[in-house]
Amino acid sequence: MASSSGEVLELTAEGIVKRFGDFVALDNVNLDLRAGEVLGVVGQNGSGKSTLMKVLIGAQKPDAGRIQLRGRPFSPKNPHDAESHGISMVYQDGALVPDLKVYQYVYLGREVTRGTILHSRGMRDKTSELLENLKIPCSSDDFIRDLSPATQRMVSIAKASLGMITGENKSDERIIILDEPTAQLSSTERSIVFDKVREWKKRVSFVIISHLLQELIEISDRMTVIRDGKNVGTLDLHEKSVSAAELHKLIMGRERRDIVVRRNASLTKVLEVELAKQGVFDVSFSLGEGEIVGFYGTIGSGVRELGMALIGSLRIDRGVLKKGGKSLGGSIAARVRMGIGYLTGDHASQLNIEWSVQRNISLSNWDKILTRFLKLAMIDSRKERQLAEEYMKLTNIAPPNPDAICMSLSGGNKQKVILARWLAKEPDILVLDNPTAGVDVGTREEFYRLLANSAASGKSFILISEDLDELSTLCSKLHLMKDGKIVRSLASAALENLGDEDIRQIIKGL
Amino acid sequence: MLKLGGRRLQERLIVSNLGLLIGMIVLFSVASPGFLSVRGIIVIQLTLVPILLLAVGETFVLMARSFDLSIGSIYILTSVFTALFASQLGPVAILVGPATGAIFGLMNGMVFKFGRIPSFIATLATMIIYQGVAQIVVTGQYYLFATEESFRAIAISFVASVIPLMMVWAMILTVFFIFVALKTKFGRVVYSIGANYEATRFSGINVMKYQLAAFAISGFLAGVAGGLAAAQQGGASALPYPILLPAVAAATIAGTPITGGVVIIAIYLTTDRRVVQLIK
Ligand SMILES: Nc1ncnc2c1ncn2[C@@H]1O[C@H](COP(=O)(O)OP(=O)(O)OP(=O)(O)O)[C@@H](O)[C@H]1O
Ligand SMILES: [Mg+2]
Repeated sequence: MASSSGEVLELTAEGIVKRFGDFVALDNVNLDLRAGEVLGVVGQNGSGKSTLMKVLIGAQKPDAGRIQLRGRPFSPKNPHDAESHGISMVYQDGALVPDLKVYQYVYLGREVTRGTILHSRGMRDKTSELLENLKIPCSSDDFIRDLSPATQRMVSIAKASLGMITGENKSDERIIILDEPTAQLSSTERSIVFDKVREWKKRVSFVIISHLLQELIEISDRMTVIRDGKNVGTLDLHEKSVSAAELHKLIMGRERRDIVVRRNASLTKVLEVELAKQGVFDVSFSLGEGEIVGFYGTIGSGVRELGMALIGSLRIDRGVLKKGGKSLGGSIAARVRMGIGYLTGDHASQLNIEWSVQRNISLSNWDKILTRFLKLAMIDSRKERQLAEEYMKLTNIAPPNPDAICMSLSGGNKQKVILARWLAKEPDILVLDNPTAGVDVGTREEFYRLLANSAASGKSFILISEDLDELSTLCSKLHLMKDGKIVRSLASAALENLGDEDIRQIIKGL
Repeated sequence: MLKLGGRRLQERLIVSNLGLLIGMIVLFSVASPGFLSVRGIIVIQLTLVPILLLAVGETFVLMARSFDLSIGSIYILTSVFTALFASQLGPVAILVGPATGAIFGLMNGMVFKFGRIPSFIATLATMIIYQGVAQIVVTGQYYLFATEESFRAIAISFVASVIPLMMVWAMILTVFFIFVALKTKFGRVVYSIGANYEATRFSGINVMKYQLAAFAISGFLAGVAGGLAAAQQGGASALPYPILLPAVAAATIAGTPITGGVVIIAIYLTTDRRVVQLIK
């Protein structure tokens, strides 16, 4: 691969091919990473981004192709091997070990010993230092499983950057690969991550994958676009700037389409909420029929906890929750029966990862797939198949095979399975907590369209999101939360007229 | 629950067990004339029935990623209760086993769920309790006789002169519960609880109801086995009977959710026992 005028090539991959059975995930892909740059990698869900990265660090064996590291042939046997060459990766789907403590996880595979005994205190102290440096709100003795998804994400970023902060290998050249590092994060945490990337850039080369095009454009020096396992091209953002819309077109192979949402606030109240949990949140609001009401707040503001309280997975201290004037029961099952649904971007709590796509879609949709047989609620496999096919098509799940095991799907496609399940269920009220985390721009567009249509036909939504773009496009009302309270509400007129930048300013001013 | 390396390995285990089973039958029918005699075949079936029933029940609990260690004790206790009522109730007494078994199973589920005790420990405790209760009930008598003919006939009348009726009941129940596990909402949900508890909860399913039901089924089938045992033997004693291990082994090796594999493994383990007896 040719490098432009005297740039030092850190890592190059040439002609990488990777097959899974008959399916070609990577078809002759090239990638080059220069020393001290941030290389953005973009592409649709399932286009092969994660697979390419796994090949680079030895987590997947390529079927063909060559990799060179600083001019020398490089074929890592496993991620540990890559790590010893100064390459580390933050995986898209956590790949965390829930039963370890934070410091044990951070040092996993590179434990510090004194003789043959683990030097726990040393590792603990260094980890605490690291957590503080990255402003991660947990202690080195916490168990991974007790952390929120966002904090878990930050901890895996800490693990990848261990050498950068604690002084070991400080002089080494390093490569850090971040596979959708910010998908689960709030804007505060995002800016911490990106500040660190900017700070370390002199010493570290980064590869960053993201579906949030704007943030990636802002941080990247160059951008590689992949579609269907092939290179579309690589842009040098210093030579020529690129807009999110242009990038969208390169990724999808078609223009971005506008989404039209009728934002008339409805008069018929379907949900009345008054909930309080000591030290977490204390809010009251209502939801109208056919409305999409948005919630925005950073970590600690209580928005995500509010979402969990609405579906009944978080106990509240006091409050009322009324749907159409009727008080709702406390359990998740009772609320789902009453026509409320909840979905989040956290796959671990939503998907049966070892099950097929079809069975995962069925999970909330019994009434659509059952027949009665001798008083037994029997699953009608034909109906089940039909339902899966219909909603896989709607959400654009790849591969379009209802029997594909969820584990083998790309991160974004896993998320689409959860979307498909709840779109099929059509509850009167759907609580969405970061529904499009990790979902590509094309599907996002399609999903917004579905949501808007569904709202127009009378379904109501509560949308908790970190994505202001998403909120200002869809919502007829936006509540901004801070320290557990709604501190400001923007009505539809305001949302029409204010730009994202204005809203950002309002949020900053809170 | 134990995952012995996933589906593939499970399939291989079942096939290799089937192979061993056939091999063993061929070998021993040549080497030991009594083995394939009418009597020999009947003995194998009589041993098989409780193992199979307990294994099928245990599978539902395993599917929900819990354990039930008390089925051996439920088997003993329900056979004691059945024998106790047989003289008054006659053939109807056969229903005492399943009814009390389901209640004991439900109690297991409640100790596990409301006591928030891991099922392994909860059912270890109830295993000891149920066995103790059986001992108390028979105190003073070494053996509870239940020799009424019409009662015993439910287990040991013969179909085609080699198949005891209790074998027929066991097969009907096995086929029914395999169907429940594979084709109904109930089976799917129980399996889902084992696959991902949180995801199942968030999908809107009343998880507790299904977990309790899984334990109740496990107890129910152990109770069926206990009732049939009382009828077959014409009574019951409170002596511990080593049936837990083969039943759990059959359920585990056959894997979750249940398929015909559980039948093959159960037959294999039973035949194996019989062979060991013959060698002795
Ligand atoms: N272990 C596997 N077995 C079978 N197919 C796989 C496996 N891993 C990945 N694939 C397939 O390869 C394709 C590329 O997956 P990959 O995870 O690289 O996508 P991606 O570009 O990272 O997508 P996303 O943006 O959703 O994360 C997908 O279609 C996926 O289904
Ligand atoms: Mg990916």
